Amino acid sequence: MFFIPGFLIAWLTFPGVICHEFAHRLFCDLAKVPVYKVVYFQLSNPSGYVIHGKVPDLKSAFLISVGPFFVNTILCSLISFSAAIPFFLLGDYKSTGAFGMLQIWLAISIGMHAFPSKQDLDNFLQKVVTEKNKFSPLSIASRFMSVSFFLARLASFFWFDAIYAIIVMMFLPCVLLAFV
Amino acid sequence: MCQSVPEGYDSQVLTPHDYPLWVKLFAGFAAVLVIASFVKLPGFLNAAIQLKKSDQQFDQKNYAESAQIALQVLKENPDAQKVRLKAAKALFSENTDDSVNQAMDLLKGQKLDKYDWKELAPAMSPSVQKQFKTIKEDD
Repeated sequence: MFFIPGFLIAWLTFPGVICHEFAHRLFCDLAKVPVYKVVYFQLSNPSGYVIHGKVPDLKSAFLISVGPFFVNTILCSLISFSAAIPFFLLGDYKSTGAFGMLQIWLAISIGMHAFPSKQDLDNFLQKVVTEKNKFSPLSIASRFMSVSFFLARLASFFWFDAIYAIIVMMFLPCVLLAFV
Repeated sequence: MCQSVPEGYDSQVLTPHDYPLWVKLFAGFAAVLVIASFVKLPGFLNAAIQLKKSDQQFDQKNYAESAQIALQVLKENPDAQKVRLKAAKALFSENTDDSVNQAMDLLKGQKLDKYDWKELAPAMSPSVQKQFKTIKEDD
C-alpha cells in the first residue's frame, strides 16, 4: 500500500475535479437551485467546490449529489472506449500511442472523481434521513446510493476510486465483446 | 464538493447555464475525445472480436485454427503482447515441429513475466521449456 497526498492526486487528476464541479453546477441549474459560487479547480484544498442555495426536495438533492457520479462514470467510459481495448484486452501498450495515453489519463482522472465528496454525501444524507415518504422508489434508491457511496469512500483508502475508474474503462469493451 | 449557502453569505446568484469560456472549451475537448474514441473503435474492436474467436477455437482444442486467427490479429497489431502469447500458446499446443518452431520464433527475444510463463509453460513440452532461460528469479 502506498500513500500519495490528496492534493497531489487532485493536481494529477484535475480534469476529473473540473468535470465533477461542472456536473454539480449543471444539476443545480437543472434543479433550479440558485448557485452563488463555483470553483471548478484550484490548487488549494478543496480542489473545487460549488456554493448553492437551499435544496428544496430529495429529487433535487439526488440530482445535485448523485449527478456528478453518473456524468463522470459515463464520460470515463466513453472517452476510454477505443483506448481500453488495445491497452487492457490486447496488451498493446506501444501502439496505444500518445493519443491513447491521453484518453486513458483523462478517463482515469474523470473516473476517479466520480464518487461524491464527504460534504456531498453529508448534504445528501441529510435530505435522505428527513425524507417523509421512506418507501418511494426515489427514497429507496437514495438510501441504496448513499450506503454505496459511504462504503466507496471508506474503500478509497485502498485506492478504490482508481480501481473503480479502471473497472468503468473495461466495462463497455467487455460487455460489447460478450454480446458479439 | 458541494455545499449549501452559509448563513449571511452575501453573493450574487450566478446566471443559470452561463459557464466560463474555458469550461465550454474543456467540455468541447471532452466531446472531441469521445467522438475520436468512437472513430478509432472499429479497428481495435475487430481485433478483440477475432481474439475472442481464437480463444473459443482454443477451448475447443482447435489449436491450429486458434493460432491462425491469433497470428492474423498479431500481424495487424504487432506490439500486442497478449495476442503474441495467445498465438504462441496455441502453436505450442498444436505441438508439431513446425508449430513449435513458429512459436519459438514468436517468443524470440521476448521477456516473459511469471504470469506469462504460468500461462505458456503447460502448453510446452519439457524439452521446449528447457530452452528458456531464467534471467531473474522472482522473490
